[in-house]
Amino acid sequence: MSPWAGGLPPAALARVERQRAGGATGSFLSAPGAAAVAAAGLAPVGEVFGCLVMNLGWSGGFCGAWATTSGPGVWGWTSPVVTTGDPGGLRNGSGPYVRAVDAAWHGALERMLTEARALGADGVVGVRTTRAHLDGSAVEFTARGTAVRELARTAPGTLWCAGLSAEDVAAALGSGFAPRALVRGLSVATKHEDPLMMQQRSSWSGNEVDGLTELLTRARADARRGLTLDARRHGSGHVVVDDVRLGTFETQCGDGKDLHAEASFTGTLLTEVGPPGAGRAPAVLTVLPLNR
Amino acid sequence: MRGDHGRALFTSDLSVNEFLLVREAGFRPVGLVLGSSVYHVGLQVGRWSKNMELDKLTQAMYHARELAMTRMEAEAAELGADGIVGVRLEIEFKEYGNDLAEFLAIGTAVVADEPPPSGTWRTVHGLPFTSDLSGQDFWTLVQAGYAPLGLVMGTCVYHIAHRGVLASMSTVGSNVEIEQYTEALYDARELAMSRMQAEAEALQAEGIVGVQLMSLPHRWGGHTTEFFAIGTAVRPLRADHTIAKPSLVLPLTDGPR
Repeated sequence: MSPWAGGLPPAALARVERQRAGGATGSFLSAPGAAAVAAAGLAPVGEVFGCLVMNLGWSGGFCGAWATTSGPGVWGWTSPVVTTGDPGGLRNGSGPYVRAVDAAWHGALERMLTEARALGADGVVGVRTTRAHLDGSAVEFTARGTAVRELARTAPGTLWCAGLSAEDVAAALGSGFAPRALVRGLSVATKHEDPLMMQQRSSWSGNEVDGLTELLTRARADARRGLTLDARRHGSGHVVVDDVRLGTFETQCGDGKDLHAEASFTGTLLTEVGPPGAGRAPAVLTVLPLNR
Repeated sequence: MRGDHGRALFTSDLSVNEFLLVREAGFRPVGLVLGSSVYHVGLQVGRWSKNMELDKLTQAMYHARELAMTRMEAEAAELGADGIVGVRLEIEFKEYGNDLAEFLAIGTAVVADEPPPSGTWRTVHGLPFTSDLSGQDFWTLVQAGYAPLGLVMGTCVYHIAHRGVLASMSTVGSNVEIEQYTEALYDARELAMSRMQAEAEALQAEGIVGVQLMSLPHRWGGHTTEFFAIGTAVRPLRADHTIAKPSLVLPLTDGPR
């Protein structure tokens, strides 16, 4: 078997080779999508794919909140919330898990972009990322999309990608916005179950559970901060968020339990091309569609 | 939140089309805003054979949503927003336990390029307006000379009476209306709708658009249901409404994307 090259496994290299040699270009585009990218001056050069299987074997020393203080005894009535974005947060609690997932997600995306680069593409539209649990602690991360070439471009620039559909990319380009990159923020927040929470949960009447509200809010706030930081790496612009997730789980911690919230925000960074408003689309045409 | 060229970076969960239309309508998105409240909804049991509102549950469901909305509005006000568009109000039961639900309000805060003829886009309470309309609906509304005022909602958790053995016996084998049920459903919906209307009146709205009336069974069993009404209260921006005459087109795609 031939070895890996340029960060890609042999099968991916063979596919790139075949796509380069063959006359037909593949794409994930629908017919309207293909028409839309053509109208925006883009031509598909092939479908691209990236995959990375990560062993999430060690998800970090749980009892993360515990590690930052000297034990549940000192908290008294309420316990603190710690997030992986806190100073030093990546070293305790769920930090290793967040780092591994981030690396795997970006790794799969990077492999997809490497394929696109090898095909001489300028960008990738309609990028979809997936995360699937295989067996044990193995998790597969994938990214796929349709690589496109800018017909008007003479010299190759930086490779861009967009989680937006082909139609949306065309609409954005037509209005003076160019997609730059897929950006993402991920965070896990942890809180030890404290007496206040238990009391608030056991009443007959309804009331807010302050600790859990704080836990979820902090997880989301930290993930959004991560999203902004990720976007900053590519410069300024507008992030169109298309995926907001929040998962919850709990782990045993001493005699009690730790509650965790995992939040993620994924989006596409758009930058304004030229001076603000330069490429503004003509005024919107009001139409009355005949279907439905 | 400033980008490295000194220009603001914002996030929004509007689709590209919505984003462009909101810009076209004269608004700039300034950020994704959200508010959340994890709520222990509590317990209340209705009398077995009586149609009745479970006011404690109603109060809990309303209060939790209000907390989430208020927090979202506060976040938007901090960004200096004139309003929030595309608001979604979600309820999710969490893995932490059956008794806990998260109430989440999420939307995109926007700032207007210019104030409207009537002075301000904000509501009579000085808060950013809120609206659950999509970018497309929002654009159409503003074009037609209306402004969203606020999301208005009304809720009612209702216990529908079980029928006694005698009552059930008397209708065995016949196709007749069960007036008791009909009446209960009418009552519950009416309570939810009138509460929504009262909120709109408090905002001095001209009307409510895009009302959705939902029956949410949640996790209380068959005879207890939440009736929830939500819509966007609107006010006119100017006296003369000119509504653009639409042209006919036949798209090549099936249905809306």
